[in-house]
Amino acid sequence: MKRNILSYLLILSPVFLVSGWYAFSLNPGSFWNILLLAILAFLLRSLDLFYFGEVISPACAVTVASLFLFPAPFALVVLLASLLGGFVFLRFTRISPESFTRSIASELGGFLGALLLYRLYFSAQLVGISLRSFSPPLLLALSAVFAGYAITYSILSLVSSLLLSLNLRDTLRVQLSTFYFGLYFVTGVSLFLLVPTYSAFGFLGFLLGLLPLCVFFFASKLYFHTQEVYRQSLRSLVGVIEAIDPYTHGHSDRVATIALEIGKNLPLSQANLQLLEYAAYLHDMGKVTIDPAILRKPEALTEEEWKIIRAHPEDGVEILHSIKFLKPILPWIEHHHEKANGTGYPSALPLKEIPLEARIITLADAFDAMTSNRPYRPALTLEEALREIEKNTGSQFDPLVVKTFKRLLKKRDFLKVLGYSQKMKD
Amino acid sequence: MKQYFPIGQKVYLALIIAGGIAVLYLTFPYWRTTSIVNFLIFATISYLANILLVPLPKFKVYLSVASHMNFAALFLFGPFALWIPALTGALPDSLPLKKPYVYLFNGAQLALSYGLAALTYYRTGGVALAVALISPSKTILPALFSGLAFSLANISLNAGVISFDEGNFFKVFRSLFRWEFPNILIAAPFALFLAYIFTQLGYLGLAILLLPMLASRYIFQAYIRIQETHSETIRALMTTVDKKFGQPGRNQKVYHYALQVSQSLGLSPEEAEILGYASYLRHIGLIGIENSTLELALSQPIWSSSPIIVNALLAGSQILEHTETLEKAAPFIRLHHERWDGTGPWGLKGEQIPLGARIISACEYVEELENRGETREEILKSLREKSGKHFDPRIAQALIAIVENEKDEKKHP
Repeated sequence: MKRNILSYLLILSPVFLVSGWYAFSLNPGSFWNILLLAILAFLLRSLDLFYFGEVISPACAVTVASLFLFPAPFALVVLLASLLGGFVFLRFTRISPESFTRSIASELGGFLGALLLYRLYFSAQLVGISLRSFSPPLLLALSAVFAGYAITYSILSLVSSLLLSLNLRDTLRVQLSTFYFGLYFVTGVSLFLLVPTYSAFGFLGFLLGLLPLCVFFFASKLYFHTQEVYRQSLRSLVGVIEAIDPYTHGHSDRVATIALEIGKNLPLSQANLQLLEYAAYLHDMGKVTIDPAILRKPEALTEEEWKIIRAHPEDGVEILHSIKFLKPILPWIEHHHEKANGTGYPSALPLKEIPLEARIITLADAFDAMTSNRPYRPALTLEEALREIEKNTGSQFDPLVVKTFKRLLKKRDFLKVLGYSQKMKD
Repeated sequence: MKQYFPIGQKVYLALIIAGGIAVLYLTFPYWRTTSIVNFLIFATISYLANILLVPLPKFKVYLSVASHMNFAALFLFGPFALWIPALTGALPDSLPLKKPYVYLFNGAQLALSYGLAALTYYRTGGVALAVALISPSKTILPALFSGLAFSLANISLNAGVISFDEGNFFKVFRSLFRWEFPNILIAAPFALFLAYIFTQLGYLGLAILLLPMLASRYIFQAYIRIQETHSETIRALMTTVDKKFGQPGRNQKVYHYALQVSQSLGLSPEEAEILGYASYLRHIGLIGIENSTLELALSQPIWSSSPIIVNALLAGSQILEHTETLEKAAPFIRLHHERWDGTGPWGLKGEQIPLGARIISACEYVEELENRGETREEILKSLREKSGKHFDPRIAQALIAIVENEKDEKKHP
């Protein structure tokens, strides 16, 4: 990791110096403006957001604005400062180097693409442009930037699909769908607010125009951080259950991963997906109230003991009911042991009345239980587990959820996340 | 506000209201300078901004663009724009108009402050930007002066009201000044910027600037919700631990003592919060012990060094170690059965034991004796005996004072 950054700096700094020197020799008068923008772009990198593995940065607004305000070498200096900042602040975050490199590549590519496209038609910069309306150059600039990004994303998809031998259409779809709203937004703010304010009021106006955007990024960063903290907290608090029943080590964690992946491929809202993950972590919380001796017993349980075990979904609801924000997950936890044919517990609900989220947790829970060791049997292999699931589809599991799950199992990424190295044989 | 006012307050209220109405009346000649539509739209945005506050959770303050909008309207449309804050600024606090005089008073107060701001802006060289556009650099100073005048007037008026209840006008003024002053000083240039953007880009420009603020508000709220959920989750777990061991309320008692000790030792609120988590969750590791063994473990004095208990404490602290909020409580939990003289399970001595663990150890002891039904004299006696042996003498002394005080409170309720 550290060497990565070092080698990056080594390559980058000569480019930075040479282009800076060249830019400066073009027009010494604007040296301070460039320096200020470069410093700004560098610092704004600390507000980067990482969203589903993608990076979106307010620094992007500065680089795009400088692209249309200054001659190309100047803009390149600002861009390089932004990339440099990205690598410096990357050290304080937990994003994977691959996705960061990808985002850098897309930023660089989008930038150069926009530069080429735009400059092919307009040799002039946007300095002093009339601000009264959507002027044609502004609109053209906007579409040039978007086209630049789209081209870069397509190239990236091609490369990554070749390198990782993935389906090109899938990668392209994923890449272009994460070619998201945030990018449009930041670029739009940049072109319609920052470019005009810079040409009208100079650097100070530029700063003021950036302020609301920065508040927004700051808020989002805080939010994502807290969400992560909460997730960590849940993960370690369910360690309480694992302290009772050592066989379930890592169980909640894996169930959460599987349930979330299934949920992403079913029509669930973003808010419900988040809740689904929490529910999956907490689904066995009720076990905390059970005497550990029962959970650890390798022999068959008595009728009395089964009764106690069967109460754990309701016990979980009892524990969690005081948490306001988690109210929607209570029925999911209560019904995660229902069966599709209406013979589950605690309420023996028919399939239609079991919440979809509960059905997802049921499958994730069962799959992980099958593929883990238990006191009374060793773990099943992936194929055996899948056969078992297929056998019980319709009686225990919801066919819709099983179908989605089987589609997921065919993806290599998914198995890697679960910690299986072998590839599924069809 | 109270139902009946002393005569001094009545006069003060009447004076401010009369002054506000007079200022508003004086702006009538300027009404012709702009369209009523712009006026209404700015008034609506200002009103909405007053309701849709942006909470800044880390600093425990609210951010509102209302004052920026008001100033921008003032710079754009002329002095009469002070009607906007006078009409809308007072509304959210008194919307069911039960007490019309509160509405009148708030409106008058805002009219006076913004009136002074408008006077300063237009007397020091500012112009109504919607009417005649001049270079931004020429209006920066007038805008700053006007912000200054506003903050002085507004803070004095607020301090005037508050000091009726709390006395000492200057003290109140100083404490308000510290927060309000920098706020307004930043608000004035930003409002000028808003005004310029409006002259250039119209409502599109305002939208580009204000929409991120609205989005931030939504996100900040989600942030606060997650934080609440986090603490509620921890609390739910604490309640469960309490119930599982069949003695609800005992942890609360330990926390009660720990809080008081932390106050008398001068610990920060953050440290007290961690002590709270530690005193509630200190026996969470026992949850993994089978009921038959647990009964045996619980029948011994709770501060015992039996391997079952020590292992349970270790397991409990390990559970919490990976949580950002709770990790600081983990060593307190693991080590709260240590003894000052080094005869505890891990053999740590004196200051080697974390302060939090020492506090909980002593508080737990007092609670345990209380639960057994020992009298206060007996508890005090054993505390004194064990001070310097089991317990940190400083903490024992603080606890002795606390227990003695509680006795006094019982005598004279």
